Amino acid sequence: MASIDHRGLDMFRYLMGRLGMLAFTLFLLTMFVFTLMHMAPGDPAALMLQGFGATPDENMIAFYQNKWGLDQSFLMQYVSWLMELAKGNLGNSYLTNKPVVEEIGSRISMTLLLLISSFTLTFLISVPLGLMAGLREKSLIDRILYGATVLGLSVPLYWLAILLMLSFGVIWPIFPIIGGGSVSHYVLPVAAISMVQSVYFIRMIRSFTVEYKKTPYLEAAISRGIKRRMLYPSYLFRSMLVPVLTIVGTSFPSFFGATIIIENVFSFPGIGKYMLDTIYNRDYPVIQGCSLLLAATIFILNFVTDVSYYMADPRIHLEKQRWEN
Amino acid sequence: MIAFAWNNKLFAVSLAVIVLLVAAGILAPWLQPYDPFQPDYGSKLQKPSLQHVFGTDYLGRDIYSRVLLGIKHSVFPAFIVLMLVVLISLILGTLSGYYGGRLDMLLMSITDLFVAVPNILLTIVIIGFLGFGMENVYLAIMLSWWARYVRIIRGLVHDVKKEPYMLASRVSGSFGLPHMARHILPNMMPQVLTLSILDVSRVILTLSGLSFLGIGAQPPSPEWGVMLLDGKSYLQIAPWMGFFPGLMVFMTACAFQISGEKLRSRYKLK
Amino acid sequence: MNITAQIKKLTIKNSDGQCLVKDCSFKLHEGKTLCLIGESGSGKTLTSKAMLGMLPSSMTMTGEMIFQGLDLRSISRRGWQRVRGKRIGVINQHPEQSLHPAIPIGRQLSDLVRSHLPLTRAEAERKAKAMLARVSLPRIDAMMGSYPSELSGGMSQRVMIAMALLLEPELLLADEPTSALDVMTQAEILALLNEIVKERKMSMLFITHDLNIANYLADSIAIMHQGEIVEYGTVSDVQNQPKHPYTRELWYYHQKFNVD
Repeated sequence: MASIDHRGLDMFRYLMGRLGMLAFTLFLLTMFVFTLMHMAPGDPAALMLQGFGATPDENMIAFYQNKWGLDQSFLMQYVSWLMELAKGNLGNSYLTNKPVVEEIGSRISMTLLLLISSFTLTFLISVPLGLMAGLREKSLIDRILYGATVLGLSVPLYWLAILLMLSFGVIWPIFPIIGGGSVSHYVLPVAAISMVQSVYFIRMIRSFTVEYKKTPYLEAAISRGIKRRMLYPSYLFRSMLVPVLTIVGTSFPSFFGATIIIENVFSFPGIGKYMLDTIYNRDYPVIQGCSLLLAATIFILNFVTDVSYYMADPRIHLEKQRWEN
Repeated sequence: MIAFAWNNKLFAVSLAVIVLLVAAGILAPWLQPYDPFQPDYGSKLQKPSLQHVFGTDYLGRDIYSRVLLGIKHSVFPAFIVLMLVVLISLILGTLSGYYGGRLDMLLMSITDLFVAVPNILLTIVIIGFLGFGMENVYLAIMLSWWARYVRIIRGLVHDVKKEPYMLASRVSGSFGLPHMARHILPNMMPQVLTLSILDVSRVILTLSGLSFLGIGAQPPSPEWGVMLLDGKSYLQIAPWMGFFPGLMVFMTACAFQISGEKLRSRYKLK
Repeated sequence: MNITAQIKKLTIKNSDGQCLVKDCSFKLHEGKTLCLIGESGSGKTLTSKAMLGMLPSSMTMTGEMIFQGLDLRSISRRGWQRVRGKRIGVINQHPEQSLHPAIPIGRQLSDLVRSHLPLTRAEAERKAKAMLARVSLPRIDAMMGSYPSELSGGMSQRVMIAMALLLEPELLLADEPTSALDVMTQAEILALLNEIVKERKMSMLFITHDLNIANYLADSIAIMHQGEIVEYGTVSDVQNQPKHPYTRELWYYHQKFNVD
């Protein structure tokens, strides 16, 4: 049908526009990170040579500066750096002299698993609780949940994690408190992250529920006697899909922030702990690589959120009255 | 506000906690039973007792005295950082909202950029490339927070500009920036104050969190995050070392959170 | 003639104790249409909401509402689910607000069927399509997959009528179903509604402020003024011997401005 093609074309235009914006943002980002790297204290050639275990003198530094192109203009250096980046080369760590990509790659799966499992648990906790509180506004359960979220907003994550360690690792030692690898290593970190992150989600979902249950179309569905089993998951939650998608898509930074803290509390060998270690050691190529990766993930997730939102809500591609005539 | 506190017990309690905390922070040098920095190797890692109500740490320092002094290092910086943020944003937001035009557009596109970049990324980049220490932590927090405030204050200025009495004063010719500031500031104060009280809680959590990660305040500072980091290493033999500083962060954040939320619902803000 | 529903001394008050509907009584007969006429704010819509158990919880209600021997005021929350849509159908003034914007039309129709009858989705869809055909909608297969925003006002109202009649309720509550439509569409929809109601011997409570529509549809009319029914009877009775000054005024203006 012609109208479907029309919708497809609109979609294509929208996608192209958003992709262009994404590319531009990522370009700005590389500029910014490269400039910071350039401004960072210390001479890169000297630092790199120290990474090889040498104690370089001035001649040696000058020689390698020339060899590695570090004496060229800022712009030239940026261009060659960008070319390397396009090939997937982020340079070598000052500390271990191994490629940054390798260093990050060996740790990323653990962090990803941690992020995904805590996100899933958070979602599973907060959707039913948020809906319950919102549907029974001002009831006992709503008030108890409100109190719990106030406490949850104020509890320092690292303290909560330490209390969990103390309770389930020291006093009642059923879970390991340090390191990573086995499934049991994930239990306490995931629990700590989900407990704190759920608070935001519960509040959001509650307020959406309160807002959307008053809409005329939900009232109309009730007046048609739609069963509760269909009404809440389908009619109510469907209209909340766009706002919920938005929080889900933009919640990555806060989950990642929580991961940094948790990985350091539990000495969990993932990206968060590695990142902090490299900041201690002033291992600039790794800091650069990590920030690039983190920023790119955030921007791409925002992009995906925007696009899926466009697809989830038919009202955005309004084509009024295409049924007329 | 007093009448409101009288009718709302929870608000009154949290306000009292805040007042008590600030007083204790100022009077710490006279309230502390021991020197918070002087090691006493004879009484290392002691359990909470009558002599040391919160116990002692691995150098034999009295945790109660350190926690008390910690108010100055953990809570007061949050006040100062937020006050600076509010001050800068008041100036920029008011100018932007009042004059509009090119200045407004420029400021809005800059704040757009800062709002889009998550705090955690900004903090990592700043600390990562500029090195650690409290100055960089303050810088990172201010840079993460200012844009939101500028936008809110600009919005409030726009709202006030539309009020009938502002239109009236514009007609009567007394519509200058000083006049505007005199009228707008008192009108915005409840909202800006409520927001910043809520944010005190978040800034305290961030500050102590960064110190806990070792990139904020450094030992031997009695900053609560630093004390918690020390306590983590002695979790198995002296859990009180980490427990009490963390409890203080929790209590303080709670007090600000509750009073902020009560004020928010009182002024019917979003 | 069988009585479908009987309302006795219905009074609705808001939380301030103000009377919004006062001592309303009327009867609905099988196969007949009662038009409830009044200006906006006269309590017409509240009356129909009360008959569906959908008054805001802040309001209080006294009086009697009997529907097919069933006391509507004694129905539980769960009980209402079985009555609404199945035994009492409803059509609102704003069809575009009554359909969920993010769920396809077909899905909304089959959900309705499956909420009340033990049918599979395919069977429910077949039933829905037959009803869409009955209300003269074109290209039904495509229509089932489209979203409400893709429909015109007249089409959405036809879908709403299909929904209200899908389960063959004994009573239909129509709250100004045509006042948001243009005159041509209005006439078509009214004709359709009248035809189906007569064909299926349903009783209808039709709420309107338009005397022309009332003249066309009604077997009897009730005129509401400031929360009270001031006139109640057959069309000719009310027209020939109006009792209340408000009715006389209403009729005067109606005749003055309807030269045809």
